[in-house]
Amino acid sequence: MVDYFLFDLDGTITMEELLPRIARKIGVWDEIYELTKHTIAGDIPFEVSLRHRVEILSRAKVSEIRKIVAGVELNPDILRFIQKNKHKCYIVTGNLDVWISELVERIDIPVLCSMVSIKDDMITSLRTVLNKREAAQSFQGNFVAIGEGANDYGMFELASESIAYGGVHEPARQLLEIATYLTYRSDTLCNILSQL
Amino acid sequence: MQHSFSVIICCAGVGRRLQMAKTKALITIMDRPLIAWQLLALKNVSDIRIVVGYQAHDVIDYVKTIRNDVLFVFNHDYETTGTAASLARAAKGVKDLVLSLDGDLLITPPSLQAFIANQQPLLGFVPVSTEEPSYAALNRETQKIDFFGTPASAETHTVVEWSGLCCLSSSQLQQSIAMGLDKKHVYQLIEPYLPMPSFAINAQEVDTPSDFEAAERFLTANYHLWEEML
Repeated sequence: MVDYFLFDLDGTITMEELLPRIARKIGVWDEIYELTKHTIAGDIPFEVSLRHRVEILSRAKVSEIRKIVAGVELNPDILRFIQKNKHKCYIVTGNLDVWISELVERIDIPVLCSMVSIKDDMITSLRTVLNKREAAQSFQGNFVAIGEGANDYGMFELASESIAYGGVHEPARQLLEIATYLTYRSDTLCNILSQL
Repeated sequence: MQHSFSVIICCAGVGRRLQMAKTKALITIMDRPLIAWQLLALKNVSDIRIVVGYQAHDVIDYVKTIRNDVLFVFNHDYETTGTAASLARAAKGVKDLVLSLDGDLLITPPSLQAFIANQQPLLGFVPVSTEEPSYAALNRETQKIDFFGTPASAETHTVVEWSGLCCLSSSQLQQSIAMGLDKKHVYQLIEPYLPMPSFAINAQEVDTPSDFEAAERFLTANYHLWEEML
C-alpha cells in the first residue's frame, strides 16, 4: 500500500529541464549547459552545481524567471495521475521556491524545494538547498519515488519502490543501480504507479 | 470476458551454462538478439515487463531501439536469486493474468499468440528437446501437467519438457509469494496449483551450447512464421 508519491519536478513532471530553459531565454545557455549535463549525470555534486547555476541565472529578475518557468509544458499523463491522487502526491525538487511558485500552482500539490532570499526582485542569497534524502525522511510510511537525476538518489534509497523515468532525458546511471523500475514512457509510468 | 494480460520476460540471469559471456536475451540468432524474436512475437501485447539484472544496461539499450513502452524491472540480486524472484518483482500490482516467459525461450509468434488466446492459467510444454530439460508429467487422459519431474508410469503420463512458459492469475502468484516460494525457481511458484491445464507450444529453449545450435536450426525452419512481424 502506497502512502505517498514523491515526484521530482524538472524533466519528470515538466517536459523539459527548467534551468536550461531559463538559461536559453535569458541568454546564458553556454554557461549553464555543461553544468547541467554534468549535474544530471552526477559528475558534480548537486548542491555545488545549483549554487553555481543560481549565481549565473540570478542576473535576471525573479519575476522574469518565474514567468519563464510558469510557461513550461507539463506531462499530461503525469498531471492526470497527480490530479487523481492529489492527497498522496508531493513535488520534491532542488529548484527554487521563488522561481517555481507559479508553475506549482498549476500542478496544485505541496512542494518541498530550495529557498532563497530576495530584494527588489533579485536573489540576494541561497538560503537552503533541498536535500532530497532529508526531505524523503520526513515522510512516514511507504512512498514511491519518481525521478531521473543523480540528486534523486537519496530519495530512491529510502523509497519502498522507485521509478527512474527517462521520458525527457536518459536517467542518471547511478540511479539505475538502486531503482526498482525504469521506463521511458509516461503512460507506462502512470500504469505502474496506478497499480502499486 | 477478455482478461488483461501482463507479459513478464525474465532476463536477469547470467546464463552460465551457455558459456557465451552474455545474458541469454542478447545472444544473436540469425542476426538478431533472442529478445528481438520474442518482442516481435509480442508485437500486439501492450503491457510488457522485462526483468533485467546481469548486463542490464545492454539489454535496456537494445530493447529501447525496438520499443520504448516497456517497463524494465530491476533484479539487483540476480546473482543470489532465481527466476521466481524476478517474476515476483515484476508481477507486483498486476491485477489479472500474468504470462511469464524466460529470456531464453525462442517461441514462434503463432504459438505464443495461441497460448495467450487461452486466457487462463496454463503451462506451455514441448517434446523433450534440450540437453538439460525441466521434465513434467503430462496426464494422458486429462492433458494436464500433474507434477514436475519424470513419471513412474508411461501408461498414465507422457514425459514432456516444461518450457518455462506459463500463465498464472495474479492471485495464484500472490499466494505463492506469500507462502515464500519466490526464492528460486518458477516451477516452485506453480507447484501448489498442479495439476494444471497444459498447451503444446512450438518453441526451443536455449540453455547450453548444443541448445544454441538447435535454436539456430529451429529458427531457420520456422523463420517464415516471424516474417509478417518483421
